[in-house]
Amino acid sequence: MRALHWFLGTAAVLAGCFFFLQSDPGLGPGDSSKPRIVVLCAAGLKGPLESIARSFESDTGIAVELDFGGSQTLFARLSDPHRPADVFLPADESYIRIAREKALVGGGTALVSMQAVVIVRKPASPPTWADLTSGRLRVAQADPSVAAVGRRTQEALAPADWRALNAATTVYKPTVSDVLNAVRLGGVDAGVVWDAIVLPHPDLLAVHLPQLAGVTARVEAAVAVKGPNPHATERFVRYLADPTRGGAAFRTAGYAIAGPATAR
Amino acid sequence: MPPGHARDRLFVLAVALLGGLYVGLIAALVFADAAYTSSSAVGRALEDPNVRFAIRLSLLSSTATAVLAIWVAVPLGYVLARFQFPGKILADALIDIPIVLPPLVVGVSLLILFRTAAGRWVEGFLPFTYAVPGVILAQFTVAAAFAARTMRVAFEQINPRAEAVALTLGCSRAGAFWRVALPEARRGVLAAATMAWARALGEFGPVLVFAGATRMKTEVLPTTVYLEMSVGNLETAIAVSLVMVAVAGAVLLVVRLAGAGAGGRA
Repeated sequence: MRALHWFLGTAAVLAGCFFFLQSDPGLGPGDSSKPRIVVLCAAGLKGPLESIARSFESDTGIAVELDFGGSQTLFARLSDPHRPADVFLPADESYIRIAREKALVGGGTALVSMQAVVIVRKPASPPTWADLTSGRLRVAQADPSVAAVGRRTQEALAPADWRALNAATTVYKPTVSDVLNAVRLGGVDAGVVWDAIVLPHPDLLAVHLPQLAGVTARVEAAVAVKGPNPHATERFVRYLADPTRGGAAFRTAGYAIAGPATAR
Repeated sequence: MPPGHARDRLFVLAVALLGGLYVGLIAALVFADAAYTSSSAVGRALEDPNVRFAIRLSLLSSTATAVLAIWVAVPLGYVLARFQFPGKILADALIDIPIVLPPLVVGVSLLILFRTAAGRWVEGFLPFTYAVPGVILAQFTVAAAFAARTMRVAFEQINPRAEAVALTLGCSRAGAFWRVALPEARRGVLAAATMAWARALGEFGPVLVFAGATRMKTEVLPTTVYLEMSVGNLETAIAVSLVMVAVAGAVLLVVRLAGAGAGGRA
């Protein structure tokens, strides 16, 4: 009897959990009659993408499922043939290039462009390049082997400038957001990040330095080749690139819209 | 004052100081978090439908995980504590793998497992990858290892003599387990369940890799913290962390009080 009571008691708790999981409107199977697209989206684009997805859903009736993660994680998810996704939206265009080479996505649509800046906490005075590379400031950079801003900084800087910045860097972080958080929390004095991610943080000062002028990147959206909803997906990508729809949300979030000449 | 008493006091003081250092560190972490954010940020977080969804999913999935972990950990701990069998050392070492592996690797391993023919066959009946059952499986894979370790220690600390007496009095091995060993191990069961629940609530790496971070679908509280930090929203991330601490603290307190009321102190 004891065994039966023990088993039934724990089974009742488990059954209760599954009942609530199934009956929760967000957790249940959902309305399968409603078209739905799955968007693999860089976590750093969460703010504008959530707002765009909401307005797209209310304008078209097509549900948008946003799956966030690091660009590398999303790329692995895109490669999984058993869980097809519809749109690939990594933090920078290089992942689109790699995905296209592997025939996972079609052509990318340029959405926004970003420029590298140096950030410091207010009320610090704007650092010069000499300050940044003097060794007096604790500097954070994104790791060039895994983060776009780090890689673009290494590629675009003159070799002597890169060596100086590399020597003055206190810590390399895996993502650009980690660099921003390190500066905000006071772990370092300055960091190199994309300008677009600074706007929501009034406690930070963004400084454009001439040495970083060539450190730019674009965010592109690409349609997955094996996506199950090609028509809905095309509509969503057009909506993203529309200056009055997705473009407006990106501008509000501080992003610079990629010009038509750069769109592919 | 006798010299022995002075030595005792010194010993107690040293023990309390060393233990207190750790308690102080944890308390300082929570206070620092609370000071960094504000009550309005916590309020905003609690009003956010995504956070409310993540709280619901975290509580339900952690509870389901804790029950499943106990179903596995009790027999596993009992077998490891009471029996000698070929391959016991190997089985014992395998249980430690989810504990020592980096959490992300557990997630990747689950993804690889579900790409095999057997994994795909299972997914034909119940999708795990990038779905809610995947959240529970990812939590269970790690939490059950901690629960099994706890149950093994609990059974090892119980003198097997009482079970032996029950056997000599005509009780079957199963009867001795249900009537003697398990009731005596009830504090261990409660400890293993709370350990599994708490572990599941804070599990992040395997959940992110195996179940994804889809808002309003597979987002648990640690995922919310990660997503907010990804866009530099430290205040919201810390507010959600404090919500996690409060929810976990309340549930663990209730469970421990219930355990103490049931006749044993957890």
